[in-house]
Amino acid sequence: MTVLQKLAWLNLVVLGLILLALAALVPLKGLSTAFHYLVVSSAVFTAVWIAVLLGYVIRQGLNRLRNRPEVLWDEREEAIYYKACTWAFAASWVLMVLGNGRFLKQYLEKGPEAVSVVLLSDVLGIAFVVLVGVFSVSVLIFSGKESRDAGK
Amino acid sequence: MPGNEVTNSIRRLRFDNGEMTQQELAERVGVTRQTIIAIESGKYMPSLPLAFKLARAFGKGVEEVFSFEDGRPQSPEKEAVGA
Repeated sequence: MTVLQKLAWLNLVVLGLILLALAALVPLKGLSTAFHYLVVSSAVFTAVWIAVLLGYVIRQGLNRLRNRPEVLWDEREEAIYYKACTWAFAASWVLMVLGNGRFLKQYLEKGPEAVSVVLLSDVLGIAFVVLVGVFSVSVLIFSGKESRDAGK
Repeated sequence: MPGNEVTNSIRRLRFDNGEMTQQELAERVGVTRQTIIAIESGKYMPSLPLAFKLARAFGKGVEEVFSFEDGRPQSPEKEAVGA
């Protein structure tokens, strides 16, 4: 499994845990209030990615010290990364546009006060989760099944 | 596009070169083993620099490792001259 595939699986696991935590909050706080916490997921993912990055920097450093250089990223990984980013940004962009439509509806019906920071953070939270989710699934799809081929 | 296909003989060349493993080849050309697997199975087309590196790893030219089939004769100019 490549670094990108591992990161994609880690993202999906973290995403699953965040959604489970939100589902657990629903009986305590109510659906709409629990939903506001979705924006916190960006901080969780940032923390996870920094930890992963540090882990790989340390691993590469140790490999160099042992004189065992290891290729973790190459042109194919880069191609998969860019394709997955394109899909992820396209999906989150659609959500941002839909969110803007919602802001506009609120503004026209109830005035500027109705377009709250909470509403904005809800849209950002959903868009971020979709961005990470679509990116991770795209990575796994584009990486394909060739890694199952263990032939020499 | 149907008929446009790049094939390669990396798998055969690895065996001809002392049964070189995918990992050994990957280390020689500076990519991951998964990339070698993807190239061998035709799921990934390498960049030109990587194609040259792969060819050099076997001591061959690029056209001895990769071949392009587009369903057309290889030298249309020669045919035109002959006609």
